[in-house]
Amino acid sequence: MDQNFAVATEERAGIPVVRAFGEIDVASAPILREQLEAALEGGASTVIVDLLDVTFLDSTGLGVLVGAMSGCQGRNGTLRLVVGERRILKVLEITGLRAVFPLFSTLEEALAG
Amino acid sequence: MSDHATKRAEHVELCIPAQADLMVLARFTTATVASRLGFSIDEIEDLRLAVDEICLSLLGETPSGRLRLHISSDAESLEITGVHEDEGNVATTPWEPHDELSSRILAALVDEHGHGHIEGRRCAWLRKKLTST
Repeated sequence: MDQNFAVATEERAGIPVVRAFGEIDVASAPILREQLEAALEGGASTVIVDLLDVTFLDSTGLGVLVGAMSGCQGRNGTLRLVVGERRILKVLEITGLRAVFPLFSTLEEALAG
Repeated sequence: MSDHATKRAEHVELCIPAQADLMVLARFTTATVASRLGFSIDEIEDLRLAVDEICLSLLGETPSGRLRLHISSDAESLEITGVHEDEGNVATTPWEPHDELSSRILAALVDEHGHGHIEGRRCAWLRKKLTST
């Protein structure tokens, strides 16, 4: 149990929404991966990951998101990210991943696609 | 922050089991030292992520042994060296970056970084200059 991280999945308008809270690092990234894999195994092609309450994201967390994006694309879908924290945007920017993921500043915008 | 609190030399060592759930201690210690040295909040966040990436590169696929971090500073910069101490398991293979994403993060966030071996032990290091006045 990682006390610095929590994750929960709900379905909104037929789309799985994975909400993460806290720090995504080498200890917590596997927990996020499990949730994303479960969403994909449930038949979803498009998944939303809400990172509004994520305060730290390292390369292991990014790797999980990239893997999930690949899974979505394999089903002709995509992985939408909801990002508000400047630090998280910076990590996506410096790794070149900002252009890879559809980014939204609110969950409502992500649901609308 | 007063001049007294900034730009003073520090040397801190942290030795922890090489376990994923303890990397938070490396980040916390780095942030604490960086704060005492007068780094800005953004710079401290950069250092938290950078030291995390350094530690990741040393953990490997099956973490074991201990991770020793040497955090030191002078008037101009902060330097962090991580050494993976794993008794009876001396590294013989070339050091490889954790992955491409990690390499990009380090290149963007710190002024210098590198890797190598110290007495057969894998090590990785970074250096970030103080820009605050």
